[in-house]
Amino acid sequence: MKGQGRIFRADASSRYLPWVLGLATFLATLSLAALLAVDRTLDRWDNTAAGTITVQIAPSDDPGTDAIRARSIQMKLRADPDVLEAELLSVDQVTDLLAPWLGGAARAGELPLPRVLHVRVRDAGSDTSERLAALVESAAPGTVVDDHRIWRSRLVNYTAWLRGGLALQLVLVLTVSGLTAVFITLSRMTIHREAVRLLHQLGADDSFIAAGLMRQSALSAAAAAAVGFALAASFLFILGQAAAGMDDAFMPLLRLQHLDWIWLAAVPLGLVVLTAVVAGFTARRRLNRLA
Amino acid sequence: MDGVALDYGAGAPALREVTLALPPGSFTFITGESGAGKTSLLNIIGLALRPTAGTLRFLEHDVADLDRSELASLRRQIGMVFQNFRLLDHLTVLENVMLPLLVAGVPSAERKAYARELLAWVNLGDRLDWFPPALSGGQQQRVAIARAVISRPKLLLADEPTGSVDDEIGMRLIGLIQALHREGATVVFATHDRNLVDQLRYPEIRLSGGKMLRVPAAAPAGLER
Repeated sequence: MKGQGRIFRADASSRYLPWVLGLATFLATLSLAALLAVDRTLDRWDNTAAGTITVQIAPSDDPGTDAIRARSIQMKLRADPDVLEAELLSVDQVTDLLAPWLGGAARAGELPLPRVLHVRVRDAGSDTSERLAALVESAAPGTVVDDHRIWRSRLVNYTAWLRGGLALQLVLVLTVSGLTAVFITLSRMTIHREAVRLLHQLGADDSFIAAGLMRQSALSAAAAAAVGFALAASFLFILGQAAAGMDDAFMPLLRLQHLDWIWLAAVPLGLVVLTAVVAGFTARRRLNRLA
Repeated sequence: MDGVALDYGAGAPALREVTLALPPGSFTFITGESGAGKTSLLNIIGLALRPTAGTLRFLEHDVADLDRSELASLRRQIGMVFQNFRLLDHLTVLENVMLPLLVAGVPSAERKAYARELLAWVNLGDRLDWFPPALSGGQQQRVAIARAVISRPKLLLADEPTGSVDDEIGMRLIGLIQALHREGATVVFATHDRNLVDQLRYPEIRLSGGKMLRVPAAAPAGLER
């Protein structure tokens, strides 16, 4: 007998715990992975959209005139103190951007294409945006200025809800795991009440008995969490493979980085620690109530 | 103990106005019919239960003043042989006997060596890896005695230790308990076996309906076998 863990024999409740914890680990790992993926996508949107304005100059019948107007607007923008950079995209770049929507027609030159300027500004607030819009409108009436704030705000709002939902799911899984540990510890103390009485009679203090229950819960939780994590990791790996080559500019894809795996590995570890701590705490409280 | 009473809350009190002192190194019988309160008295002496009235002192400590941790510490100085053995069926004989040393934090190698030695002493050296259900009643009782004495308790409480074994095994078990007594342990032995009490002639506390009928003589002088 290596320690107090074996004093309490395996029972029906200790066979039930690994199933619950294995499932909890699986769900919690997937929830956290989804949360990380959503966070990363939101960061990307932040980095790419914040501080940028897109200027679209409507095409006319004469591409040469369009080019001159575009150059003129570019010069005006560059002269503005709030503009850090004003890049005029080439026709090929615009074609590439529109290709997903227009297909071969854009490439074949069948459709008139707007000239596009990517403008990086010091502050993408509404004042700057409106001032620059007036500036380009005066230079080329009908020019569209898009500061991305509307679509970005909708996406941020949506992802905030998504993040909240995933975080709530994670919290619920942890709560259910904790409650399961409480329930199973109390059941085990009832099942093993004779052993508990005997141990008290042999001079064991509450911490010794609680440590025995805690150790046994931790061991069965560790095995279950390892299996649950392995299943979740396999599933995420398959999803990652399936997402290879897909564009995640507008959709969160479960592509995990090394740091993400460290966070995910903390899930089974955290669940084992949670189970053990809850089991120990519950056992001590219950023992303290005994005469 | 002085004026100790124990009331479980249902029916008549298990003990009423029990006053006695157990001198260190003494051997005392507790006798009485079934339901007289013998086990309750042993549980009080063994600190398994707290009296509902009266004062209980153990090794100079007033038990009422002790917290759970201090009580546990005192219990480690008590060995108890239970009427129904109370062995853990999923642990081997060796593991059952080592249990008090595990509780006391004795290192593994040391507790294993001492448990083996003790099991050899009670003639169970060849049953170390057996599980209690595979043993006879007498063998289980010897395991229980080995477990009770392994931590060299200052006080050994035995509750009808011979009640479920035949006479020959019973006398061997009593021999084991007497050997511990000779080494200085205080022994309290509950039995309803009149012949045994008369034969060994140790002081006797007789209980009836939870009350003491006879106080032990001052000089314990057992007739050892």
